[in-house]
Amino acid sequence: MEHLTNISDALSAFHSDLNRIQTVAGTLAQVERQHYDDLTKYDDERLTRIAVAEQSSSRQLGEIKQLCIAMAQKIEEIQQSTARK
Amino acid sequence: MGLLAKLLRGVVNEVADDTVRTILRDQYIENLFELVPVMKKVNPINLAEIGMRAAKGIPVSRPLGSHIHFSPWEQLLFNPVHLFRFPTPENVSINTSVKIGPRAKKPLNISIPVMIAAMSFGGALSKHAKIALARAASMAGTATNTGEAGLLEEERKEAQLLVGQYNRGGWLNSKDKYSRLDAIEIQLGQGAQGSAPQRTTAKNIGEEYREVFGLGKGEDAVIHSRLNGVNTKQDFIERVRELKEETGVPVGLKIGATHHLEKELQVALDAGCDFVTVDGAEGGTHGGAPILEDDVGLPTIYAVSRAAQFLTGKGVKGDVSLLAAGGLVTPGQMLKALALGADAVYIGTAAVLAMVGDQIGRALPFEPPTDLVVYTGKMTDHLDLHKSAQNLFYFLNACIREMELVAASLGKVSLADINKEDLVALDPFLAKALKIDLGFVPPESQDVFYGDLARLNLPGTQMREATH
Repeated sequence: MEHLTNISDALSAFHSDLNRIQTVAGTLAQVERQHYDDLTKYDDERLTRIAVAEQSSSRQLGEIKQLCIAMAQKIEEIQQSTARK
Repeated sequence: MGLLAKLLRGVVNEVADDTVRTILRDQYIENLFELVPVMKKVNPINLAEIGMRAAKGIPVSRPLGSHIHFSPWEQLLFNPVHLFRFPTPENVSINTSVKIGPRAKKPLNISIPVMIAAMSFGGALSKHAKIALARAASMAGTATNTGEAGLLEEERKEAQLLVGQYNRGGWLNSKDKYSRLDAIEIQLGQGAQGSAPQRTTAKNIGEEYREVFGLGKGEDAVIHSRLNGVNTKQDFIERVRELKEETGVPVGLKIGATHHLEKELQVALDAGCDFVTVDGAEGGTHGGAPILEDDVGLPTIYAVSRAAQFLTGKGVKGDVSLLAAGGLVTPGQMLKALALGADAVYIGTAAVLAMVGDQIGRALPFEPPTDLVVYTGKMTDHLDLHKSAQNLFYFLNACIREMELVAASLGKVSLADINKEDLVALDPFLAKALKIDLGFVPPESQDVFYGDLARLNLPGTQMREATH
């Protein structure tokens, strides 16, 4: 029973951490998007190159956000299933 | 104007006058203009290939696949929204990520739904080109593909995500190699070659190629028509199960698209494949016989649509990922393939051309542009690896950005949400085949239109009625 409690606590911690990572990734993705918009205003080739890298980073952070959401949902399912046992 | 320029101008003028006079007066039998109707009759590509066949007596090896545009992508258009549903605000991010093989223990997650197609080291591309492709893919958060080759250490190192082809040459088919992959694609065919055998002769195989492929000195690299040990459906099913159990990564099947598509895909489903890759007739290759490129297979547009309808009908759409390949060169074509049901697309020819980009001048005018990237090229050392990776990364970014613009215009927040209802067809046959509304009439009048068309009894309309 203690073993189950430990697992339950660990899952809760993972869930909380994933939510935090998801929030950070989402915020950073927005920041990177804003950088893209800001840097492309100048119509400068070098700044545009940096902007493109920012845009791609924003997408990859968006992917991390989606992965975190999916993992958090999976953990919730496991928690509910464990609680029913 | 200087004296030399005046002299040159005078000479050019004389030559031009004489040429025009000759073309307009001489009979065909002694007129170079004869080439024009000949070229128009047989077309310049066929004329050149007739000469190549006549010169050597062996099949011509044509790079980059068929020049024929089999898939009528231009007959499909996306439907933007304005008021009845609103476009996506510009401050909302469009999700571009995809999970390939969601049922696998370790699915393949990519940031964008575009991957670099299978182009092998040695059999097709130089080491520098493979490294550049892998680096660009990693920069964009997507995967690259080994092609039918062994495991090139430099490619593995550069690629964050590497799809490896379990191949008919057997060069990647040992556990020590395939256990280092992020997904396994069992290659039984490709759009540009069907399931035909291929051979790279020993004289075109260098030391590093031999090492990566595990070939002996003087040994040819042979791609057999069948996978070693797979002679029945059950053999294939067992092989897939073994690979899944051993690795946990997504295991899929790649075939050249064919009218037997559904029967082939059923075997893949029976085997428990996590993804299927359909390579349309427009698929590229390092060099293939023109008959295999131009006269074999099924166009990508129909292959994707049929595969997606089949997976939906079997209730596994979303569980078994669909990867589309073959002649997709514009972001519009890529997005249309996604809308028809592909989860992600592969690009090969476009990736190579993007990678070479403005370096093309280094090969011209004495060598073709592909000479910079093909393994047997004379100018592979002239390819700037860093610039090549940057070029391809920029190309991928630009393509995805264009797709995001369409997604926003459709009122979508994810590329994965774009589907057939976002498309309209400009051809009645295509509309019926792909199960997309025809753009000629409003959605509620589609059936009336086809009924009226049938009643007109125009040539071909009986067939429309039958399909309706």
